[in-house]
Amino acid sequence: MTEQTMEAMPPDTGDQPAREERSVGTAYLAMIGFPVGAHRWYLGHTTAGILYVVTFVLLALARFAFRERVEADFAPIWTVAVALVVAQLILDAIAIPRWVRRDPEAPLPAPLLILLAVLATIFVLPLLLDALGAVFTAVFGRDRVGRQVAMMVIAILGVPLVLWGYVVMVEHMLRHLTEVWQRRVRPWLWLAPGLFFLYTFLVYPTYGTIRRSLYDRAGDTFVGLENYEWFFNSPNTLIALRNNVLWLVFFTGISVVVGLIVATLFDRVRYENFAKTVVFVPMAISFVAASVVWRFMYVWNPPNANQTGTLNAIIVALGGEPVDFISTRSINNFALIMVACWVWVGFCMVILSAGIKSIDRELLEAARVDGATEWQVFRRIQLPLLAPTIAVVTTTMLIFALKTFDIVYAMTNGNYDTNVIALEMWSQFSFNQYGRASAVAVVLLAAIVPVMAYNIRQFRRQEEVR
Amino acid sequence: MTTEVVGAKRGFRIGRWALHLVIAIILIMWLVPTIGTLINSFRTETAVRFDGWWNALAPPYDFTLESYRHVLTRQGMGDAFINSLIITIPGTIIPIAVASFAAYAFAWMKFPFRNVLFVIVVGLLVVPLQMTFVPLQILFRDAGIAGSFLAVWLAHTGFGLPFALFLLRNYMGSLPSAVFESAAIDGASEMTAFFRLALPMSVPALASLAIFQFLWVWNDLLVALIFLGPNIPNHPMTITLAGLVNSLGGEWHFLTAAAFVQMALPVTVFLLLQRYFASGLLAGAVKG
Repeated sequence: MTEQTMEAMPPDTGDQPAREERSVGTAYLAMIGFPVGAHRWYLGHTTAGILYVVTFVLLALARFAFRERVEADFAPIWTVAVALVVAQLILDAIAIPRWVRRDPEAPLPAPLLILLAVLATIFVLPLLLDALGAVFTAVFGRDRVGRQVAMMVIAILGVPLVLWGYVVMVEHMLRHLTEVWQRRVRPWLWLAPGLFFLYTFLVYPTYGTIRRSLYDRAGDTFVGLENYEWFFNSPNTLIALRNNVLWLVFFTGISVVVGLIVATLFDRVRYENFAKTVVFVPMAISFVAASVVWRFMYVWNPPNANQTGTLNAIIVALGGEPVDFISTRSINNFALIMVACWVWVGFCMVILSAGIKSIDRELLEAARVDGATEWQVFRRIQLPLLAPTIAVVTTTMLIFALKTFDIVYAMTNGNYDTNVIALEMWSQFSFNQYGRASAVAVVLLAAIVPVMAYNIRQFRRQEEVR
Repeated sequence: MTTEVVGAKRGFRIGRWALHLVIAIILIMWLVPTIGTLINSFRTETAVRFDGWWNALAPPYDFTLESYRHVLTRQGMGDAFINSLIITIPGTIIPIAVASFAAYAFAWMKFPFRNVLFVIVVGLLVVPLQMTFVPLQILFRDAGIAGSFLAVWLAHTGFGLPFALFLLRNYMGSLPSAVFESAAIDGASEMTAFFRLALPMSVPALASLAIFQFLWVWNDLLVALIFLGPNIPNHPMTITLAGLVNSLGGEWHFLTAAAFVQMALPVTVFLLLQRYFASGLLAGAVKG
């Protein structure tokens, strides 16, 4: 699109031609708060008005939420507010020449008016905010919960709003560039918030942890591989390592195989959806709650007492001896793994079931007509065609097996030789052994890297097909 | 010939019955743990301690809401429920808001290193969160927000972002390009295309993402333990509940009710919106 057609086109206002109805009120509003002078081009006055009001409410909520904790130290919010006003003025200064060119009739705000607006903002805004704060106090109450809820409202309204304001501002500024440069710069500005979070919360900490794993507890003395030596030599961590291998093999194996069986069986009956829901629901239950549920399955009482645990009651009814699933060392790891399987089979089932559905039904019918048994249909047709799906499910399960934490934490807290790597990391972390905790995390990452590489390869293949 | 067909049919019928039987056993295996605990949660302390839950199914029926009353009024549990809400709602909305803009850029804008960057996102999907805890905890401590909800929101945003980006970018990328091309020809700005086209058309993906993130944050134990650890008033339900499991003392029988209070919300959400959840799973099966 050439520059000329851009000029000829009406500006991209939200709902109505905005310029005609600029009143003193809007001019004032445009001077305070957020960098939304852009609304002259992008937003109708209604949208802009809503934006101002919400910003206002948010500022008031912030004042209310933070007040008791930082009574005297409320300056940051004001610094931010003033900075936004200044940013607004600068943006307007950049925009004015363009504005004049587009609509020479439009009156420019007089410098005096701008000054008045800024002064009014600085003096009137606190009063307004206090008034609103009083309203919030009436609504939420002054206690801890009230303030926390206020903070939550700020977060859930404020963050999308700030992001929206950010993009509006970005587009506002981009209009001053040529189209080629717009196309070069825009993606990075749109990506910036996301990349910021990825970098700050994943990339930088990963580097930090690797580095930290080579330092001592306090983090100021370089100790080389000492933390790793500890990890591969202390009995407790070696048990954790062994248990993770058990998890890798049995959790992954059982979930995928049972998931496949369940998906294949359910595929053959009419009440499939109901059956799938039953197996799928544990996915919505937290591991902690699942641990509670299974603690009651595993309850053990002495042989002569009444068995209140479901499993032991069955065992005794069949003439066996009650088993202490939690503290018998040869069994307890499998007892924990079963809980995880109970939760995750639903996941495997859903993915594999979708894979089964994507196989052409006529193919199966043709085989059946040719005299194939159900087993042959499954083994010779469905299974080979499902291989890629099984691979996806298996990799996912492998990762969860390596990262398993909640169930072990809630059911045994790693006692009776049930420790796992992720739990060991938490223990070291809670002892403030940051060097060791980092080393444990790095071991975990190292174990996951092959799966990661496989995932990336799969992803690239998919992309080539796209 | 005819006998053969009849025989095959009879075999088929027996097979059908065996199939139904096996499925029934599977369903019972999946339901019994939950149902047993649910029944226990309506029984008295002594009954739970000395008697199996199945005995409650025979008369005399002796059910009580005592455990639930205790859990909901007990100092800590009610607060923990509100804390869980305070953690979960922003922990769901913020990452989706952040991801949607970036996902649009990944899907519909051309820029150098686009593929490399996205491959990094795919790699980050499976990075164990443990890799981030120590540096982030130090960062939060230095910023003065260690143990606060803000720290947990930020952490969940960072941790949820790769999956959100992955899912949304794939979904937005699969929207018909003709829509965006004709919009551009009609002079729509990138912002209009995003707010008026890409976002409304991605509602199914946004919905499954929201459910996913909601369940993940509501059910999360590890992130809360790490970043809220010592700050007991801010503990969500998962931590309180995990604390109860290990205390085999006086509160053992309240555990059942507490567990059901904790799972009520996610299970309701899940049952109502299962379809979206399943489609989210399928779209993001690479996630770890």
